[in-house]
Amino acid sequence: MKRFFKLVSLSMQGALFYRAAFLLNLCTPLILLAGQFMLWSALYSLGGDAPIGGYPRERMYSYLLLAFFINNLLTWSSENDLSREIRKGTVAARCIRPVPFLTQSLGVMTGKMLPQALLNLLITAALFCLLGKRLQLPAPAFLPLAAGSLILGVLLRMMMVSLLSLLCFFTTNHIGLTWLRTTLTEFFSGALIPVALFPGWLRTLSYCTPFPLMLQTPVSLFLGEGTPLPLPLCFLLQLFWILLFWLLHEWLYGRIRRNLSFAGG
Amino acid sequence: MALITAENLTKVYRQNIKQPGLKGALKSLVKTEWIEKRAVDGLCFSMQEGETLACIGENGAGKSTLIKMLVGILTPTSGSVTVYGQNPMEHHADYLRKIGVVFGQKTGLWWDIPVIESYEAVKVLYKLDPALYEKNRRMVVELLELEPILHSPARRLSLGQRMKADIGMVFLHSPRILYLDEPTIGLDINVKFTIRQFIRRMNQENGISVLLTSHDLDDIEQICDNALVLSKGRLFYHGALDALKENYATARRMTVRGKRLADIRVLAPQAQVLEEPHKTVILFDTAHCSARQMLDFLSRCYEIEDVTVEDPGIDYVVSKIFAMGAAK
Repeated sequence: MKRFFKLVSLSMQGALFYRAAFLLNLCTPLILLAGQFMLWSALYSLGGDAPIGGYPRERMYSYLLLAFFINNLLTWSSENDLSREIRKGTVAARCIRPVPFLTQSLGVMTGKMLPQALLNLLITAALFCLLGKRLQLPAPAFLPLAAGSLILGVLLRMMMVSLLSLLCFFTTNHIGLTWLRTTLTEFFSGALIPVALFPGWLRTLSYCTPFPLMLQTPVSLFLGEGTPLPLPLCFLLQLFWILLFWLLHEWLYGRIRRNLSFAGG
Repeated sequence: MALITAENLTKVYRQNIKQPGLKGALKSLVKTEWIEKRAVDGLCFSMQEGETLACIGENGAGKSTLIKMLVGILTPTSGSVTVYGQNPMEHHADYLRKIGVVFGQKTGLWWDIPVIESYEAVKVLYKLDPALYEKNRRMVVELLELEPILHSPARRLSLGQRMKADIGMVFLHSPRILYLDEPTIGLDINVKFTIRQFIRRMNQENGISVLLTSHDLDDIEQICDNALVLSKGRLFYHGALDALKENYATARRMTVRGKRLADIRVLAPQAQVLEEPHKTVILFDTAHCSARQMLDFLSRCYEIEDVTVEDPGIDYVVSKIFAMGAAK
C-alpha cells in the first residue's frame, strides 16, 4: 500500500505542476453540468413540470448532481499519458520498476482523481446546500451503503480504464479509445440519462454490462431508490466485474509483454 | 556459476514493408508485406560477476536488443538467456531490484516533479532501508555533483544534467548489475568524464557488474575491461579489450625527425612511408615487421633526432572489424 500511495502522490504532484492546465481540467466538467441542468429544466418546463419517466424535477436535479460528482472523477488523461509513454518509449521505465503495471496505472489514475473528487464534492455539497429546497436530498439511512457502492463503482471504472488503456499498445489512436470508452460509459452508466428511462430492451442490455454498476447503482442508493437487482447481488456483481477486469488486464498485459517490441536502439 | 549466460540467443523482428508513394500506401492498406530482420542471431556468451563488459557494434548490430533481452522487457525469439540462473522475464520483481538500467535516450525520472522526489519514490518503490538509501543518495549527489539540480523537475534539466540524475537514480537501490545503453550519448566532455569515473569507481569499490553499449569508444576504454563485439547480430569477438586491440590493431605509426640517409623501403618494402615537412611518418603492420625491427631499420636510414611510436586506438580496431564484417 505504501508504494501505491507513493505513486498516487507522484501523480498528484505531476497534475498540480501546471496550474493553468490543472484549473482548466478541474472546471471543464461544470460546463457539462450546466448544460444538463438547462436541458432538463427546458424538458420539465415543456412538460408542465410533470415527472419524466417517474422522475419528478427535484429528484432529476439531485440525480444530475450526483451523476456529475461520480462521472467526472476520471479524466481523459489515462489513455493519453500511456499512449505518449508508448510512443516515446519511456513506457520501458514502467516495465523495469519492481511494481506491478496495474498498480502503477491505478496509482496514476487515483492521483489525478483525488483533486477532481474534492472539487466535485465541494460543488455538489454547495449546490445541495444552496438549492436544498428544490432538490431531493440524499437518504441518510442509505448513505453508508451508497458510499460502499460508490467506492466499488469507482474501482470498477478504474479497472476498466486500466484494461482499455492497454489497447494503446496496439494502436496510436488513443483519442479514439478514449472516445469509445467515454461514450459507452456515459451512456450506459446513466450519466447522461437515468437507465430507468431507457426503453425496456436497452435497459436490459445496460444491466448486462458493468456500466450501471459504476454510476446508476450508487446514485440510486444515495437517493433512496430501489435497485433493479437485490442489493447484495449488486455488490457481488461489482466485485465480479472488478475481478474479471483484473484477470483480463493481467492476461492482456502478459501477452503485451511477451510481444513487446522497441523500435530503434 | 556465470552471472549471465546466453545460449543461441536470437531475436527476430517482423517489419512491415510499405511501398513508397500514395499507390504503395493504398496497397499496404489492403495487403501487408512483411520481412524478418534478425537483430540478434545465435549469440552465445557469458559474463561473470564484477565484470565490466562493453558491447560494441555498428548501428543495427543488435546491442540495444541484447540489453533489452537481458533486462527482461524483450522476449527472445529462440535460445535462452539466464541471469543469476533464471530467465529475466520470469523472476521479474526480484530481478528488477538487483539491476539498474539506463537507456541513454529515455529517462527514468518522473518528468514533472523534482529530481529529489524521483529519488524518494525509488526509496519507496524498491522498499529500501532508509539508512542505505540516505547513504547512497549522499554518495551519488556528491560524486555526480547533483546538488544544484536536485529540486528541479526533470523537464527543466539539460540532457547532461538529466543523464547524471538518471545514473544517480539507478544506484540508489545498490544494484548488482548495471545495464547502460549509450549512457553518454549527446553529452559534453566534462559530463562524460564525470559519469565514466563514477561508474568505474562503483565497479571497483562495490563490485557492480557493468554491461555497457556505446558508440563512444572512450566510454569503452575507460570503463570496461572486456568486450563483446557484435556485427549484424552475430558475435564477432568476446574477450579482453586489450587482446582485441592486440589481435586486430597490428598497425603501428612511427614518426621520425632527422636527416634521411637511405630509403627505408629497401629494408621494409611493406611499410608505407609518408614524407611530411620536417618529419617522416611510417605506417607498418607488426605482422610483417615488429616495432623493434622497424626501429632498427630507422636507425640505419635516418640520423634520428626524435621518434615516436603510436598504436591505433580502439576506434581503429572497431572500424577495422566493421570493415571485415562488411566485406563478409
